Amino acid sequence: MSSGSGNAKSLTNREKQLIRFLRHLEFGEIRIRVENGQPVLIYEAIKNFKLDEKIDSRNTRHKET
Amino acid sequence: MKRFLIIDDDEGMCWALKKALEHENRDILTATSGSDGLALFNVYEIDLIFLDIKMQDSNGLEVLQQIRQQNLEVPVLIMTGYSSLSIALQAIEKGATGYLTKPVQIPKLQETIKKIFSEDDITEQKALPELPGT
Repeated sequence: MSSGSGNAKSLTNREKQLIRFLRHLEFGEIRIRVENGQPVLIYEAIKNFKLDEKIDSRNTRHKET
Repeated sequence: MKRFLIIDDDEGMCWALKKALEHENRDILTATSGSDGLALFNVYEIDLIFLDIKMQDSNGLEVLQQIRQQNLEVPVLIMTGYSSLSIALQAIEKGATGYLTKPVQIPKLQETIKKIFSEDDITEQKALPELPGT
């Protein structure tokens, strides 16, 4: 019987960077390049706003048009 | 009317982006330095910023940081030809809304803009034609 964690490899620096990226993105889409099982490049990423955030942002504008 | 600000030290890129994004309901401003871009940002209400990272007079990430010190909400789309995981991470940590690597395809850019201003999506989905035989 295996605990499932005994053979786990530690995360590489690139994997950690990708996870940090995803956590900061919160909501959205990304397209990445992977080589040899490792993320090497983020081609594009876009954060999606939640509706309530968009409404809040419109209510917090101060400058004149 | 939406107002976009393009900050890129490559005048050709500014011109090409402006031409590609021009639309009757858009006002597009361009700046070829970080300081000029920040000056425009301080005067006008901006709905979306396109920001290059590697500019001769300034670092786009520092410009992004200054923008975020004043405004947490305006969408900032980073565009860079010097992409890496580390740069992308720094950009998102400093508050970038999106991240694209150059060369940027115009349809991709339009799609990204649509996602940022996603209130138009429902209208466009309704306008899709029906497939034959369905």
